[in-house]
Amino acid sequence: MTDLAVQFAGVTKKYPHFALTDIDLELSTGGIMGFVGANGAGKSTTIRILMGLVHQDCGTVDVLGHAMPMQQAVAKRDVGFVSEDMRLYGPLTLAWHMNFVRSIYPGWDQRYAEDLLRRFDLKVEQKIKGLSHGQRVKAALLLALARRPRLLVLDEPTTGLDPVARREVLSELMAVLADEERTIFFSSQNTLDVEQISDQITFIDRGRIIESANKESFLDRWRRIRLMLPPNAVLPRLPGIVEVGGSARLPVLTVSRFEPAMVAACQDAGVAVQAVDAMTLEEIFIVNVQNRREREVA
Amino acid sequence: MNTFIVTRLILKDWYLNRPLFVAALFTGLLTLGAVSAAKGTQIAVILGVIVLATILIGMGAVIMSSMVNERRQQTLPFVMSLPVSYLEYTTSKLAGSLLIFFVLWLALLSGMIATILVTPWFPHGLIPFIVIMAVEILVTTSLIAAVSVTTESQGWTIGVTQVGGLALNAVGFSIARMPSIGHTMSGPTIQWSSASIFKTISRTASGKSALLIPSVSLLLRSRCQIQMSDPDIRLGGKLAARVPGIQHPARLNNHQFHFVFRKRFVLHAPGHDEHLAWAQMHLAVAEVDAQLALHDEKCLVRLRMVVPDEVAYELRELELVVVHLRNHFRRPSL
Repeated sequence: MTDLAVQFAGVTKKYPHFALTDIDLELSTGGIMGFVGANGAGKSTTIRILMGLVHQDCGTVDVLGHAMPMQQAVAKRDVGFVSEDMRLYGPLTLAWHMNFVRSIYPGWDQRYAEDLLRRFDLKVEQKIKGLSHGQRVKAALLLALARRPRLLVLDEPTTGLDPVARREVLSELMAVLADEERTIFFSSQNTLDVEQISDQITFIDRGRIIESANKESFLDRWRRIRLMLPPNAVLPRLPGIVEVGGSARLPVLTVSRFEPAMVAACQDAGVAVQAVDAMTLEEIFIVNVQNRREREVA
Repeated sequence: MNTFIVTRLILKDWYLNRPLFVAALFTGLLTLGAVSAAKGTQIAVILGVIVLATILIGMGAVIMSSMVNERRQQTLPFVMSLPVSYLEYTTSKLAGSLLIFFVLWLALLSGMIATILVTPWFPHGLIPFIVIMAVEILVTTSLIAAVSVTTESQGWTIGVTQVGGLALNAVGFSIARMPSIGHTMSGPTIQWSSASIFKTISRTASGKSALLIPSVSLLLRSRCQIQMSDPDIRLGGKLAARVPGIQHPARLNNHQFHFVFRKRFVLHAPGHDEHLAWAQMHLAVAEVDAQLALHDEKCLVRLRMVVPDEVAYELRELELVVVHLRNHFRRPSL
């Protein structure tokens, strides 16, 4: 019995103008993975492969112990999926959708569904085509959450939401996290959302995973060190320097493997350390992607 | 095969097509009533048959294209998020669409035959012709369903529907000209004896089946995965992502990428007043920008720019300004 809810091993998918290459991912049961990438990075393709909607060219994908896409019907009994491009049936009401999903999932939690209706301020009699974008996302989320899935897969659910709706959606996701057995795979372009709810973060760019680690590790390891370089002094050799900015006299180092000993090393080299700044996930992501792309070009 | 989930999906399609089904049935019955009230005049009979055939063909095209619509309307991810495999989804679509159409087809055909039999002034000899045409419509609709499910392309589905409609007219015309049928159509009795009736049905049906079978074969091979990327809609387009000021490009789906055949504005319309612009494929597309010009004030930011009022520490340094990126992305500290 494995405790991995999601496992990608050497997954590759080629399209004429895009390739997802050597995707290796592991998400433990009860974990929350934030999947961050720019437009066209391969987030949605990865998630579609995870859901069995697209077949990988090579490599294996296991979801809740089931091989995808062959066993997708069985695996999806315990998976709730909401994506930004998912639409419900416009001419039908939310009540119909709830009844439809309830008829398929024996574990449907009607009480929880009604609770979500109140919290999301949704009306069951309203037709889907009359709902705003935010309400549609909430409705889709309701239909996914009330199934009580073991794995929740969310493909940019907060995209296009106004700040209030986004807060409501994120709050509900945070409430879901109280159940430690529930696993969440969450893709977004909004690093703030990912930073709020994820405990494991994966960056993807141009079809490749560029970094995957737990959130604390990310935030602890990445720093900006502002230095003042005296005349004739040279920058000390530090491990994990990703970017050197600033000027010759006032350099700014971006490091991906920060340790307090680096500050001492700088001071020993006669370089004054003006400040050591923590970085946001967005800054880390941008520097990471730019650095990788520059290295690819070089 | 999970028959439970397939049944649920078929019932869902029934429910979704219910208004259309009721409207078609009501219109068909109204037509039969009108034909009956016209007391069997030839023009009423012809018009009645044409209206009923149109209802069936139109309904067939609409119902059979539901698979294409599922993808165009982006409800496919919702359906595929349910515990269903591709085979089950495809089976439910095919079975559901054909079942809905078959019920309507049977109802209208039965109604037409009943009207002819019950109403004294209708020539009963018309029944063989009507049955042959009804079978032709059924086969054509099955073909449309197969193409729709196989290709998931609206263009192909519309194309096959149009070709099928034209073929149907040709078949109807040729059958009406056959002596064994045409001469007995206005007769008081039903003439089923001619082998040419069955020969006609089998010949045209087998012709369409020749297309249907490869389509289904192709379907079985290709249904191993669903083509999620709609050729008409490019989700979260990269083009949008490159436009300054677009904060959420993922929502800006680019529609209609078929540049040759698409709706578009034409510049200098007086010069393009041909009804059929056969050879002219204008690839330049005029876009309407509804924004006020006031919003389009632009400024150019270059990599190198003059920074005024800065003091250099040393003469060899051109400037002293150092921009530190801070946690707050919008507030660089100087």
